[in-house]
Amino acid sequence: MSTNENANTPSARLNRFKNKGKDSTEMRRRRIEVNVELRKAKKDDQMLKRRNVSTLPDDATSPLQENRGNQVLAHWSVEEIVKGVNSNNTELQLQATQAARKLLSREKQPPIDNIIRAGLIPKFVLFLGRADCSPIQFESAWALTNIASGTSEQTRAVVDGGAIPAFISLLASPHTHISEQAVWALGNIAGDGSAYRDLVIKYGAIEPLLNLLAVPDLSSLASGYLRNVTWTLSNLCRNKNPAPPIEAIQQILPTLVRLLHHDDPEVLADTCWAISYLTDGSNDRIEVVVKTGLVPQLVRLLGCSELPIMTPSLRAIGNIVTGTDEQTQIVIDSGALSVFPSLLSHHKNNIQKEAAWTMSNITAGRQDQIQRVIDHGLVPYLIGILRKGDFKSQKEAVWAVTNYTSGGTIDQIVYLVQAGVLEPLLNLLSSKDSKTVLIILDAVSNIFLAAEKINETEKLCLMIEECGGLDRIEALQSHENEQVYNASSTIIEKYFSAEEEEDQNVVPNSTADSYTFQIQDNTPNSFNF
Amino acid sequence: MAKRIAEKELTDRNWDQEDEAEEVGTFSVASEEVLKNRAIKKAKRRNVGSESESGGAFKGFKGFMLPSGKGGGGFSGFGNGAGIKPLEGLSNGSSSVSSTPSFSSLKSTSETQSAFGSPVSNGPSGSVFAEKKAVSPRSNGGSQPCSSSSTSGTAQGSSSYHKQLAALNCSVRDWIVKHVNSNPLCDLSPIFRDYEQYLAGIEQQHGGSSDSGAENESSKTFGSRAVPAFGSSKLQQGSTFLFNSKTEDVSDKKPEAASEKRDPSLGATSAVSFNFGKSVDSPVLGSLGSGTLSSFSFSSGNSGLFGKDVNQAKSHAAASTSLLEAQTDGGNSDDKGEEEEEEPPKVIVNEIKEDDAFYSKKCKLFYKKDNEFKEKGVGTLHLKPAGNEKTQLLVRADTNLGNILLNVLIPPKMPCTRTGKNNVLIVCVPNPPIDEKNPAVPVTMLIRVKTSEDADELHKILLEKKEA
Repeated sequence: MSTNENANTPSARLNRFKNKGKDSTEMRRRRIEVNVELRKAKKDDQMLKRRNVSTLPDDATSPLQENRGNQVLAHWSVEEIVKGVNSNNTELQLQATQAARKLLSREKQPPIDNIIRAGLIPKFVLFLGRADCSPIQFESAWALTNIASGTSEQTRAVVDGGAIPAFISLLASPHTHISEQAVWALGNIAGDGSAYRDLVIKYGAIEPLLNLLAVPDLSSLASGYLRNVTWTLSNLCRNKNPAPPIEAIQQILPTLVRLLHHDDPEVLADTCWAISYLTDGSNDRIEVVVKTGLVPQLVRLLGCSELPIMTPSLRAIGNIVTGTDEQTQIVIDSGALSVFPSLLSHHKNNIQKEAAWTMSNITAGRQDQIQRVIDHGLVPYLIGILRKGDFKSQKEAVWAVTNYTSGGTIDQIVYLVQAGVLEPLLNLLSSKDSKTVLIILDAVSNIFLAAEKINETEKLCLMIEECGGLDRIEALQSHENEQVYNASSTIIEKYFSAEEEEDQNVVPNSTADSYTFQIQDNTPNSFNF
Repeated sequence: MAKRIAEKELTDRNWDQEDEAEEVGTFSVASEEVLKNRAIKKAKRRNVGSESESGGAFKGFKGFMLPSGKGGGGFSGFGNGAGIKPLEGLSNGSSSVSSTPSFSSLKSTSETQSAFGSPVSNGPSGSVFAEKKAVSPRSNGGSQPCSSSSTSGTAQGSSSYHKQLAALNCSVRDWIVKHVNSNPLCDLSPIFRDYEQYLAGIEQQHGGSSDSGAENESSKTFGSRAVPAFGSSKLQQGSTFLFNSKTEDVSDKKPEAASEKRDPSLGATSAVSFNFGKSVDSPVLGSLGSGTLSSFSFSSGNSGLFGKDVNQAKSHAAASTSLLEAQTDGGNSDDKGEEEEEEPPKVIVNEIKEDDAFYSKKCKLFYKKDNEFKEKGVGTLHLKPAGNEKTQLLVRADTNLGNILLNVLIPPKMPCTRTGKNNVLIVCVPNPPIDEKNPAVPVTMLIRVKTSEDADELHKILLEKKEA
């Protein structure tokens, strides 16, 4: 942000605004560039779920074995598994597959690559279709799920083995534990990234998935089952570059809305996550979500005080208010602002930060929206964060204040100043983050503009001086960042300049006698008469 | 649109992770190279304490006062040694410490009376008065200025009342600075009681009237008010004076602090200097403080959108604020009559004409201490013939008091160099002394003038004159 001649005319300030000329697409693109690395790294953070031995006891899953009373050998070697799988004996194949499943379910370093190298995946995929032997369908589904829960390469091996359509067919299995396993596997595959997600969608997974929830009352479904389906649906909403196809989203949304009204906390959390992913996009994406009318329920969940649910719903709301003024208004009309006193003072830093960020996007809106913020008594809370928040929260609060001063009416800005924003705001000028400093100086300029209009600049100067802000602004002229120097210097020049000023170099040329001046932090050596 | 999307991707996997805490930190200063090329603008301060040291001075008091730094602001006006330079000159600069013990040692009334009654008894300040009486400012050059420790005191030939009052105020200020610096929690009420007593003493001596020739309206006010509006009238009057001195200090000589629309009562405004201490202990004075705050810093409520509610929010004695203002108004209407002022006092600075100066130039004077230059003050440098073909170099501060920043005979072979864009360096034994403990040690002084031409000229003249 460089300062221009008429640095504070609206057009000039708009020019300096970092996002000027960038529509939301561009801004998102920039953010994506920054974050794509993060996302790649995070993929390895176990976005996928592996089904472990402990989740289900063996007995329940292998009625066939029970009946037959067959001994299942523990710890088969991969060779033995291969042998069993390749035999023509269904029983043997089943035992081998189960042995493989057990290997793949152990806690410590399941031999996924060994299994893959042994060429077992195509066999397992075949077994998925063995409707005559549901146990082997189950075991192979479980084994493949765990392979697909690994690295992207391992997931690819599963996909390359033709697993997707096979699993989609299994969704219709009469055995709930088998269809659940298929749901799980597809969740893992779709969760790998946009490409496989879209492939899963292309193969037609959505409709049968949604059908699984086509019951009059969701509570009639087993909770684990419902959670798995919800989670897989959320993975279908996840990831960007590209975002999921809009038609797919539109297909899924009604079910999501329904899930949003369910009472299971895990289901609610995953549904909110899904919505947070969906709203993390361009305004038309936000529009699709908002049009379903789910915002009031989202706001209700925001106030539920359960952190795993509050977090994604706050993120979703925060995303929505990055949209148009109208979309933001829907959030406001749904009563979201009433929740913010507690959010802005929440003990969890992340919640405070996200809440402040959300506020910053609301104060970036219309003046009537700023007024709603004021009417809900939220300004003191913002100021409270400025005073003593976690620094990340403070940064967001600074944004909220600057946006407010940029768009607010004179009265609103006066109210802000009267509420005591100046001191805590200016105290942050000493921070090492130049961007924050620049934003604060922006806010100061904006407030001065308002003061000019009502002839209160003198008073404002005094207030700034009295709280130590003037010293800080003056000191900023020594900042290493040129823009900070320019911005602070401009403010001093415009509003705090002494009558006759000599702009002097701080350090006079030293003579042979080397009489030089010490530069004190905030004692510029210009000469005032 | 100023909307900003989320910075960080949040998912069901990472939401629970502890974010690395980000430190506020402090900003990095640019390198010397870069700084050299930057024009660093100095900000005009509206509060007294226009030197940037004021930040340091009242920072220490922030916590002491009420919520905002306003107390600091008020305090800086009162207690900032750096800002009240001319008065410092009165008590001889660094001798402020020496005046402190004299103050605190004069606890008993009788002693007090005598101390301030007879100008001579009060350490260096005393000697100031003595000198003052004996020697008029104009003829400073005539005597042996090098050896004398004279300062100019009030250059307009005003009464010793003002001098004594100024000395009193300086002493109080220094005492408070010293003690609050060491212990911000100290109770300052005893000192104000003492102050009242001393002030009463001075009043008695001089009948509370000013014979200063009314160089400004405020001293007129000061003289004519007889009945207290609230608290002690002495307090007010003293404050008035101090207040005006404060305004004089501001380099562009405008009482900016009082230039806001404010309460017509001068008294309330001027008592700002005391609001700080008062609000600490005494409840009556606490109300004084808050009331004053409202009139000093901002408007008294009918104007000043910025200020209005802040006062109400911050003043912890809101009720007493209005009470205060009522009292003030009442008192003032009794007393002032035609002195009712709508405008802040206009500070008229009479430029002291040095008749026999053959060379005068506005300048800023620095002295070198511990390898860095410290500012002595802004003023006018005069060169006057001093008999014996010698030349006197006199630098007088540009204030109403016009106290002397430097007053030396130019010795032969005085080191004198031209340095920088517009500076001249000299080495001499400073008078008034800079270091009380070593008054005869030569000190490097730097004189900075407006342009390089001026510096060349000054240098040339000094070279000429010292050879003589």
